[in-house]
Amino acid sequence: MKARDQSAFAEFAAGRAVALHRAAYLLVGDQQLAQDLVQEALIKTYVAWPRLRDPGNAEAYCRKAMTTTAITWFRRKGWRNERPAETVPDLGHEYDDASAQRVTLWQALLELPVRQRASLVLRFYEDLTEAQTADVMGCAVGTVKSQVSAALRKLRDRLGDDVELLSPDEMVGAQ
Amino acid sequence: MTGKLIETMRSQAGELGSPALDLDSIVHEGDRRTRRRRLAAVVVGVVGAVVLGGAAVRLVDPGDPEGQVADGTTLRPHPLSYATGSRIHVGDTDLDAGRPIRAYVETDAGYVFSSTDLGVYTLIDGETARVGTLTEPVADTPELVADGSRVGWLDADDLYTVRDLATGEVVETPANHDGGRASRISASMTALDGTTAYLFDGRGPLAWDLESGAVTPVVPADGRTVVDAENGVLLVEGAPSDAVITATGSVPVQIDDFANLSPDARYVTTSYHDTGFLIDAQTGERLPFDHGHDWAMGYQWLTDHTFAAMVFDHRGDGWGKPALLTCAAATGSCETTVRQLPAELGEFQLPIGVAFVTEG
Repeated sequence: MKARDQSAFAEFAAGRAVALHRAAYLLVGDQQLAQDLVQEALIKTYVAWPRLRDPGNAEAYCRKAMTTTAITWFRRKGWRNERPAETVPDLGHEYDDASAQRVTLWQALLELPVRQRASLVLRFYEDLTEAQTADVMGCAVGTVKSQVSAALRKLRDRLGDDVELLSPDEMVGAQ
Repeated sequence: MTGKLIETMRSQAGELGSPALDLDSIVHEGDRRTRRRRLAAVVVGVVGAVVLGGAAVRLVDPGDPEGQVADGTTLRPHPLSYATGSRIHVGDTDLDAGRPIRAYVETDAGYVFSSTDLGVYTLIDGETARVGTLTEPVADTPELVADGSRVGWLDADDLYTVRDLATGEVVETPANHDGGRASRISASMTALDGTTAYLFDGRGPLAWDLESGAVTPVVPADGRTVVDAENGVLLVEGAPSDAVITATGSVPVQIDDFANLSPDARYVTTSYHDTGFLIDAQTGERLPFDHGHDWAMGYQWLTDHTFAAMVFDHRGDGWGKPALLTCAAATGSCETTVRQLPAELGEFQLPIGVAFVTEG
């Protein structure tokens, strides 16, 4: 890669590192593994850099690389439902129902099959459309719908119907 | 208003800061993959193998006796070979493995190959037998390693496995994925030297004594991978592009990603910045390597002093067809053994235990 392209890539990596790390953590539930995932996604982006042309393409490519890599890792190693939260929050005196709900919901998220969890992260954390989510995951829009639906159903089964997983506005988007 | 789902995801993710990214490592690994792609690309479209008459199996220096080396294995010369589809080509002979060959190695007792079903098979005296199943391999990493009559791989359920084809003895030890970063994606057996197998997983680089079963860390502890081991000498990769040979102290050498010690550990073939080199393992000095082509790299030792090299030449805007040479380490001189390889990607493998495929 030419020096100026390397410089542009370094700028891209530095600028997007935090956002990528956070999304990666939601995908894998482990900080160290999230770092590895970001590193791997950036390697793939670096290899593809000469044909990506602009930062928008690079970001989309990197997000896709990260998601598909995470799915592959889980598929290879059979991590499904085997990922404990790496740390249990020290709730201390601030422990309340809302905190307990968040902890339970986070645990439930980690126990989802990786494709269902990825569909939730992309749709609701990354705020992608169903079509964009389908593109990132390399599947049909209908598959995204079914993955999101199944994931929400499992979370509701775990937390109960009283917990408002999605606000009415968000729910419209999820229909 | 935000529902609990998004609120929880933002809360969890929001606690994270910037990751400790290693940009140098990203660039190094990215460049390595790019080189492999480029190399893979240049062999696409090449058809037809032309083996030079009489030369293909006359690879063994008659002066090289079949003896015993210090690691306890026999020093049996290997004829130059390559594989296409389900066949291994050795001089004028074609061996039918009966299954597509994904990666393969040569042992003193026969061939061992992985297939597209990730099965591990032996091919001995024309008979193919399944002896194991690969854990899904990672691109560019060794799937099979061999030394003497033994072959090793990471079997299904993450069991490091070594089989002695001469005796049928099989030994196993589990991989450990809990040790640290990157371990989950890179557990592999990287080298085999007599009765010691070299592993890499969450615990770092390890030596596995096949006789006692003991698994111990490899020194130097900060080494990342034992790239190769012969005759008790290790070639250990440390920082990207830097490796050391533990022959007499630590002899530094620079490598891209592939290096191969000669059976007596006197020489190393490798590449650095896409240029192939022959190196004196005792001193680290670059030795003459008069291949006469635009790109070349030694990939396999046929005897203690003879190695096989793959070469390419520029043709217009691209590359010509790959060929295989046989080279003498003592003089650095080479002769063409296979003039043209059939090189449709995925149909052409060399006996290095690594599947020659494009990056996914």
